[in-house]
Amino acid sequence: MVMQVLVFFVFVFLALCVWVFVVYNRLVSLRNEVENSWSGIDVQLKKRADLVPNLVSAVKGYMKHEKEVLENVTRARAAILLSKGNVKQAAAADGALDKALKSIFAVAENYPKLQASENFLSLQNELSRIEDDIASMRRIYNDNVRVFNTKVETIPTNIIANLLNFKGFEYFTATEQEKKNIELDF
Amino acid sequence: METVWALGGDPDLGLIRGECIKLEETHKKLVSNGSSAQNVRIAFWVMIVCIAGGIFMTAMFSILTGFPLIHFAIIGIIGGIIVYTLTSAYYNSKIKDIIKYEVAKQFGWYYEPERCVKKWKELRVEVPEIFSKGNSGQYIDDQFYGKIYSNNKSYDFHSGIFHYAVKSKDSTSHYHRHFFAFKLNKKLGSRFFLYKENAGSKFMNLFTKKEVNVESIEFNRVFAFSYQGRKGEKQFDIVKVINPSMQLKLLEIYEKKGAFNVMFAEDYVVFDFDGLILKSPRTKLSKGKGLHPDDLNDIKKTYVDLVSVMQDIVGRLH
Repeated sequence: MVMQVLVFFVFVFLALCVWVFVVYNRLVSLRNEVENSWSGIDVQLKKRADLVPNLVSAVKGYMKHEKEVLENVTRARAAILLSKGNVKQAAAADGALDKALKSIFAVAENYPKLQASENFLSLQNELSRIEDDIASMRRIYNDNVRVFNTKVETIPTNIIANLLNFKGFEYFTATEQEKKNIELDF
Repeated sequence: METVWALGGDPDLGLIRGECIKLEETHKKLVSNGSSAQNVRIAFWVMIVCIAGGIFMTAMFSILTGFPLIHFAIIGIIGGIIVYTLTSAYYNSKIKDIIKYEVAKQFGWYYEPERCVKKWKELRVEVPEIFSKGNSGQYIDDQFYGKIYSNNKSYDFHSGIFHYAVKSKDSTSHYHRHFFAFKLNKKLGSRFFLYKENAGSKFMNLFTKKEVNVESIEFNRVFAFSYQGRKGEKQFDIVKVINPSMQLKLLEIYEKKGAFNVMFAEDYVVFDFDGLILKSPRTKLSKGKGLHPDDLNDIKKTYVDLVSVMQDIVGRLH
């Protein structure tokens, strides 16, 4: 009888160990996938930020009286480069850059010569392509964060997650106020 | 000379045109002059007469002899049903072809109604991942060929239904897959198969170590890749084609249409969905009212959806 009880507990213990390994490995793999999708956004954000100086130099000859619009773009670009992996800051800076770029393209409509410039058009196309890529990456990143955070917060995986210090990730979103603050901070 | 592209080898346009002329004639005969409506109605009344006659004979025999011989009733019922089923099935299949042909005509495409075992053999060699299925009764029918325009570019496409059966000792199961292939204007530089992952393939991937993961966790949960060669060689090509926006699009199609497979080959893409193009048409020849507009619209909608899938996929191949 004692032997049977002992075998039962050993079996339960082994099953528990296997479950812990499986859950741990799953959490690690999910965390890596979230981080991987974040690095995808980061690369695209930097790519877009790198194009901003070219855009500014392409338009500043035409937009001499639109200093504020150009300054907003430069500020938002700097904010992206300074965000250094901080999701909230990057999201706010990205939102601000989005807005600033939109206003540049809106103002550019008043300058027919600029609109006809091949350099400007190719930059505009490239920026809009990157913007689409960022939008797709953002959706994937937020979906991944939702999957990971759900695992970390729900029973029974939250037990392992808490014991082994797995923390949830922040979503890549920014409020209008956060976007404004980025612009005002500089 | 006009040519159309088809997966596994270009089709014989002369033959297709001939079949289309035959369909056009059948259309006139069936729908315009109402003879078919009359035939279906006659078959219906033949069935009623057979059943009634069988029952009457049984009743008479029982009254006269005192012995209820139900054979007459059984023969009458079965015979009547067979006559009606065969007649309406014949007209139903013709009607289905005519509806599809009408849609092809409206889009400026070609439609080939004939069952083709030879085409299946060609496709099995070209894309075994999709067409090497079943152990009997494999053939292709309902083939459409033509061009689709997107952003001032034209793309050749070919679609059809792949029928196959799986025979076992006790039973035979029939399957129908709808494939939609389109030719790309540029080379992908790689060949791989994307399929809906199941428990079995997940387990196999543990041993083959060929699992390729992309950015989306959801995508990795739903789909898996199969390819020739080493993972190190293919992974980059796959991730390049299945970029984030492509992942989102494929997940969207999955949510809308359910499980499907895609073959990304060097210069073409083949989608493989479950089901038929038109299951049971609403056109009723017996009513003699011509083609039901909903039947035409259903097929058009299927193809408009597929064309938009194609346009999205082409647009996402950077």
